[in-house]
Amino acid sequence: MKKFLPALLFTFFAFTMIAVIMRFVPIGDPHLPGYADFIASDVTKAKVIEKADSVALHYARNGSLDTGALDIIAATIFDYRGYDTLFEVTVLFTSLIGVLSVIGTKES
Amino acid sequence: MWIGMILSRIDYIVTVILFCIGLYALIVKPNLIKKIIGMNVIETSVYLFFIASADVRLGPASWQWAGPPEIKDAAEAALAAAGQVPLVNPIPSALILTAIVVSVSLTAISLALSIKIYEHYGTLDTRKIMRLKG
Amino acid sequence: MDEKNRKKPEYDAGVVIQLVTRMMCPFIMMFGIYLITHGHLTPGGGFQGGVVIASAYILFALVFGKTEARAGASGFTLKCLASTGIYLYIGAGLAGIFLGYHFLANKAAGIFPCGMLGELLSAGTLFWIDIGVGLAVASIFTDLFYTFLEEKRDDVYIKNKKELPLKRRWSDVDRNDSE
Repeated sequence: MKKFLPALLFTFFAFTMIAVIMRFVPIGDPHLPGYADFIASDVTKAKVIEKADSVALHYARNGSLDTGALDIIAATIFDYRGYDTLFEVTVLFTSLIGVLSVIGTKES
Repeated sequence: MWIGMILSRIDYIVTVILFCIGLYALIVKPNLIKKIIGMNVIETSVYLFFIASADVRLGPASWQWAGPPEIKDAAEAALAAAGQVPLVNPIPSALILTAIVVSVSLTAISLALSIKIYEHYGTLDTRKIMRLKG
Repeated sequence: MDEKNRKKPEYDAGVVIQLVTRMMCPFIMMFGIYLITHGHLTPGGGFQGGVVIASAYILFALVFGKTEARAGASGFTLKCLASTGIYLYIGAGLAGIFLGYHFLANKAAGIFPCGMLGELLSAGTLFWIDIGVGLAVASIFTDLFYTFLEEKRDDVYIKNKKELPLKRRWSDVDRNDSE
């Protein structure tokens, strides 16, 4: 009983979340906030967009021209979001320092 | 109709199930290592949710826009013949790449603290650790 | 290290595993270097390549023991490499400031080669940032794993197991430890 109750609770929780997710748009449907530009534009005839409201569309169209990288993910994480990646590496280094300070030294 | 609705959102449903499994392990299991495993499962479900929601085809890839015009025309002709476009939304993938590294840092710190807790208390059972008081 | 000075490993993993590890480690590292240096051209990048290189070091430590692994990659060396990687990143960012542009300016600064689209030295700062991140991630992951492997523990509890009053009080619930 003590273990059964949490399982029941989480099953109820899962069904609630699935009921909410059924109201989402299906996977691959661009009818989401943030893709309004993309829906308005014609995909096959679109030119390079100078000013796009949607960030994703701007990256997808102008990424190689702005950064010179073929890989759009590299262009995103190292150029457009360079600060993010810099502090991410700093977080990793800080975690190393934390682990070393916790278990790397021997107490007397 | 229900089958179609479920199949078109099957990734989200797998995400929810993974999230609930992780939350169960995080809350119910008394062992600290299993709590950390549950935390990682929750993080994995969040990654899956982001990647699944990023599957919006945004047209030809960016190098096709930047390249010489004959390459772009050939790519567009091939795309029109295939009836689909290759590039998905790149931003969630970049965000998740950041989140994975942060989760590794979090797991490392948690495991180090678990080692210290085991040295101090002699157990990883949170019920016993909470009752011991020092 | 030559054969005479080589210490006996902590445990013997077996001839087959040792031989295959010795054969595979250079190729795993080469694949990681490929992922790092071609990060702006193909899927992959600094993080993925760094993790692949770190996996080679971790495989070596698992098979040959921690002392032999630490002989090639000591904590000081790994921390120096990690700092070098992060400073490379910051230096690639500061180069934009010294030329009068913003931090991490890529094409506008023009100090790094921006060749044709698709060449190796094409994306300006991205190539150098990739190398810095890969260096940092590889050394940090290796050092994390080696630290967990060595784990200089205090052994306060382990030695005085019976003298601690905590253990006696809750010894009745101890059998549920693995739950």
